Amino acid sequence: MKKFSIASFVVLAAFAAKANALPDLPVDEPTKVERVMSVTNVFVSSRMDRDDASVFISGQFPNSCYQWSRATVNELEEDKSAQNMHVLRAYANVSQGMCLQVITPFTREVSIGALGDGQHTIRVLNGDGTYQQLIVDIR
Amino acid sequence: MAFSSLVLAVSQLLLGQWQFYKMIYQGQEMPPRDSNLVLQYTFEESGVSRLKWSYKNDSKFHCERIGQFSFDESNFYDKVTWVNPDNSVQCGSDPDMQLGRISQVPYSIVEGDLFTKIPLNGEVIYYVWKRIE
Repeated sequence: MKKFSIASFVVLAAFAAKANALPDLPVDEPTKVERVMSVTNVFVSSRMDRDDASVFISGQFPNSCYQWSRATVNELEEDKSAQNMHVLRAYANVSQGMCLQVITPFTREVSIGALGDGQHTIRVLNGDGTYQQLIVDIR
Repeated sequence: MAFSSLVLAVSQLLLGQWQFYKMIYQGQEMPPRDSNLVLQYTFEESGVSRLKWSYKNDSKFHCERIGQFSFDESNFYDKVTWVNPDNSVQCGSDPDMQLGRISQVPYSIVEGDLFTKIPLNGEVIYYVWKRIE
């Protein structure tokens, strides 16, 4: 039994050593392109108040080349066209290398900032021109 | 001169047909998720690459495409120039099977095996390929 254990240990140690002998692959990562992500759901955060409002957005990365990058609020001038309208975009960095077909869900809390009293529209733009929208009343 | 010789040597190592047979994730070696998967990458001397996969237990499923590749000492670059029109419908969702797609793949050849580096949720997974031709 002891012999078996020692032998097992030696085999495992050899396996681990081999597995850890990773090749010296380049530090340079493949080029990344930033893309607007499609968001499937928008939720009101429990922290939704007039001083520090935020929402949760969720969606799916279609393959392993996608990685969360950032979210923006009223990033463009055109986003600020209407009062109490808050336009969100979620961005992912997409690596231009080989990709695994692994769908990965993501959820992020996005801070909108201080909101004044009244009805606010929170619109999350998708990459394809569609959007998810949430209307909240702040009193 | 020494650098070009090195690149030439690497290219000769890269040329040939490779079959995916294991992966390394978080320092651990693992077999392919599906033991029936046959995933092959071919690099021809003419600069043509061929990527295809199928499943031993599903004769109807196959994805195949041809590309034009180039390389440096640490990355190969592959542009998809032809996608097999007879591919299974599901192939189209894979970026590696989309016409015009250009991929940049970090690679290394260690002890005769081809290692390719693939991003996975902020981490890295290595696909390891053995030469079959």
